[in-house]
Amino acid sequence: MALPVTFVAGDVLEAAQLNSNFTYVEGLGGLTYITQATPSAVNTISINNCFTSTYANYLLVMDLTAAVGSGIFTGRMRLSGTDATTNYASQRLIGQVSSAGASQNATGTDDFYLASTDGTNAPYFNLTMNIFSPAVAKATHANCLMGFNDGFGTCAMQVWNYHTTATAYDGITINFSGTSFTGTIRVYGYRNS
Amino acid sequence: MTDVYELDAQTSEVTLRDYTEAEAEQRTKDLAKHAALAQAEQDRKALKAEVIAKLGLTADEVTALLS
Repeated sequence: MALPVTFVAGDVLEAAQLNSNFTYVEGLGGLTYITQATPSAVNTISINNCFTSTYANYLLVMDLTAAVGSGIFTGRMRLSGTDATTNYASQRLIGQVSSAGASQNATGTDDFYLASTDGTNAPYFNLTMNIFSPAVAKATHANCLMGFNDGFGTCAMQVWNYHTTATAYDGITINFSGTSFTGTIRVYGYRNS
Repeated sequence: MTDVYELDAQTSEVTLRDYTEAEAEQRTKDLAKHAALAQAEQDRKALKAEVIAKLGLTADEVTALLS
């Protein structure tokens, strides 16, 4: 049947037609909302069961409303409630005020390097993270774009994070080295086809 | 303040909890790492300022040099 099935007043709606239309509508979006977390005044957020075999790649969007203290955000892949703490690496490109730079493994090799903020500038913080194949038993890569001010001036940064352990993960943890943070983290899945 | 906000994406259940013993140990290691990184950054900036002072350059000249 041609989709979407259209109806006019007085038509009898058949279940098969309606179900086909639902399937059609589901297929229109390339990005599917999975979940959102709204932590308030915490050090750490863990999202379990957000990565499944349904999608190969995911988008994580993080926005802050407040933070206490200055600190760095880092991330770890997670499986069955436990974080992986080895085999990470990162490469960052950073532009802060009028200075540009690059560095490798800015926070070592035990986590993903993400971004920084201080309490004053937390409302201007933003982070997007494209995560490739987290739920596949192969290395997980993440391409991160971030904008923030950590007290040393406005900063735009791109970080390629990768985790070489060939494990299918089901979750992610984000840690803040400052006192606490408040914000929203949403996870979306990219449709495979 | 709570240590951990834990969300189950399948059930939407949120758990607010303290760190487990293992997580607290990891947190201590992480904070020590960040303190060391911050100190290294401060040392690098101090060395940079020291070198600039040795060269006798003004702030404008340093900006021009690095642009």
